[in-house]
Amino acid sequence: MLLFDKDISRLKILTEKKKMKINKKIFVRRNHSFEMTGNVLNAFLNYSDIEAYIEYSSYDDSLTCNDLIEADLHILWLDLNRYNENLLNKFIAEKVEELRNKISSPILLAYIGSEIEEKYFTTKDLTIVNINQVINSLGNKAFDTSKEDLSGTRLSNKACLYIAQYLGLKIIPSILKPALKAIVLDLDNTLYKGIIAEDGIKNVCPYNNLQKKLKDLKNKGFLLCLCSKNEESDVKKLFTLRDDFILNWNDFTSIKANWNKKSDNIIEIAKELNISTDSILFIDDNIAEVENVKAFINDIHTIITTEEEKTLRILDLYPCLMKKNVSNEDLIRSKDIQLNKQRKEISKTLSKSEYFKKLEIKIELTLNDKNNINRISELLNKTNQFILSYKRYNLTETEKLLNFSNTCIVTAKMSDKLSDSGIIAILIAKKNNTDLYVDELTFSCRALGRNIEDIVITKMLQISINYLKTSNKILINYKKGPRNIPALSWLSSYTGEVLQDKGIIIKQLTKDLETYGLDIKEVTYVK
Amino acid sequence: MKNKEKLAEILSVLLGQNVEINSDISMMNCEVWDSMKHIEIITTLEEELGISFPIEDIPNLTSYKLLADEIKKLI
Repeated sequence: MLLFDKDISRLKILTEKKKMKINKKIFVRRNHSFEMTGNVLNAFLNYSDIEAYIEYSSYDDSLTCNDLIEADLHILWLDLNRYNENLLNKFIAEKVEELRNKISSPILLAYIGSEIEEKYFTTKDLTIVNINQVINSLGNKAFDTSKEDLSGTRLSNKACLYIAQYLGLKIIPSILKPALKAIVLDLDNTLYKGIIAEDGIKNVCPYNNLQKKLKDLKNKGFLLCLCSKNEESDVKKLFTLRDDFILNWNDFTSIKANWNKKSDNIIEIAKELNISTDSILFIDDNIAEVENVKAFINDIHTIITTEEEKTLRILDLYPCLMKKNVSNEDLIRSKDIQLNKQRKEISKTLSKSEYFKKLEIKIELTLNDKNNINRISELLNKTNQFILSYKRYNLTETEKLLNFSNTCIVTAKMSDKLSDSGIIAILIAKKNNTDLYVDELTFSCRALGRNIEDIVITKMLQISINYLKTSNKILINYKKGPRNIPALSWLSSYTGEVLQDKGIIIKQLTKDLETYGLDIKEVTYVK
Repeated sequence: MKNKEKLAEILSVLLGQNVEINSDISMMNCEVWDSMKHIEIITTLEEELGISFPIEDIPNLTSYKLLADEIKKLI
């Protein structure tokens, strides 16, 4: 994996670069040159299927932002040594906020020189990267002041390559694309050195730095799963006996220890977790296994492990494994999915109302929930399967929606006696003359299969109708996407209509709603 | 000879067009070769050939020929 190497050369990286069509635009405001980084950035972004057109401002220490440039990402590229340190935090924070008031796309502040204090920066949808830390390992080689007059930056060629690698692999894809959801791991020679069936459980040597990194990712809401060609009893024994392992049996949301094809196991895991295979990262030391999995699941992400240190480096730089905010839902996701097996068992023998009662399912519907705006925006951007129109509003745009008098956002939280699932559904509705226009609807796949979709969504629509004072005629906007079949199947069955590639379905909402005794509470926030 | 090949290879990759050995390509006749691209070419040559161009000469090395002559002097 050349792009992830520590020792990278500009020539090699550009020689191997794929040819791709431009699909994103990045605008760089700067007070020193970005070109040496920018000219190689796309080679790294290509790994995440991004090819960006990069436009530059002139060099400007005052950071004026009178020009309104449309872009998918705005980068503030600053050498902070050019500012008075006493006023630094206040000045930069004000400038970032000024920019935020003019544009709605994400902002990335990447700086070298004097350090800023992040507590001063409260701007929404802002990612701050301290480039000093990225180039720290280069020592003196990070700078080349002899060429500063010619290059427009004191950064060396090597430093620019390191920065392009860091921004292009780890940071920018995590801002522009949905996060991965699950990491499926092999065991032998991947999580430890050795083979349990040959070396014995007691003699394998754990890769504990790697295990620690994976545990950290789990704590940020990524689901860990095992897919190993071993006897399940041996694997269970391994995690019971080896108390020096950082990862333990309960850290894994799904465990497949058998002799089936790994691709079959991974497809089964994706079904269990209700996620698409392109949100899975599969890690294995065996090239043949990885190639075999890729042959059957071509959109899966993969890492072939060699030495622990190299794997750690790849994992650290791997796209879409970075989360700025860890939400309550991130913390409960793994347990919630593990409990779905129990829920399925209970649902087999009971009627709808008995099932709701037995599981003590509680729904809380909230109108215009300002307090959970981060989570709402996150769900709008990461939901792939139950999403109707792929509006993908970013954080700033979502906040703006709350300020429009003819728009409302209704969210649904769900809990039952087994766990609290947090926010599971979002409806964005607008008043269209006298009718209700459904702009976007998402439903968490974790919450599907409990027979609550129709009730919860109908109730959300009723709340929107009451709030926006519309008729009961609803116009539902939808668009066929790469993976939203579950959403479209639901819409078709809910409205009884045959769907095209995209369109608007008209439905008259009936006033009566059979809730089968489902416990539903309503909360309203004043705009 | 090897260095001329390397120079042609680097110019081809960085300028995004085929550059032959002994090409007459220069900043004057190549639109992509601007001042920022120039510094990228210089640092890539330094990295690949393990040389260091004298700072005062860098702005003048604006063609394949001038670069090839300078590299010959430095190696």
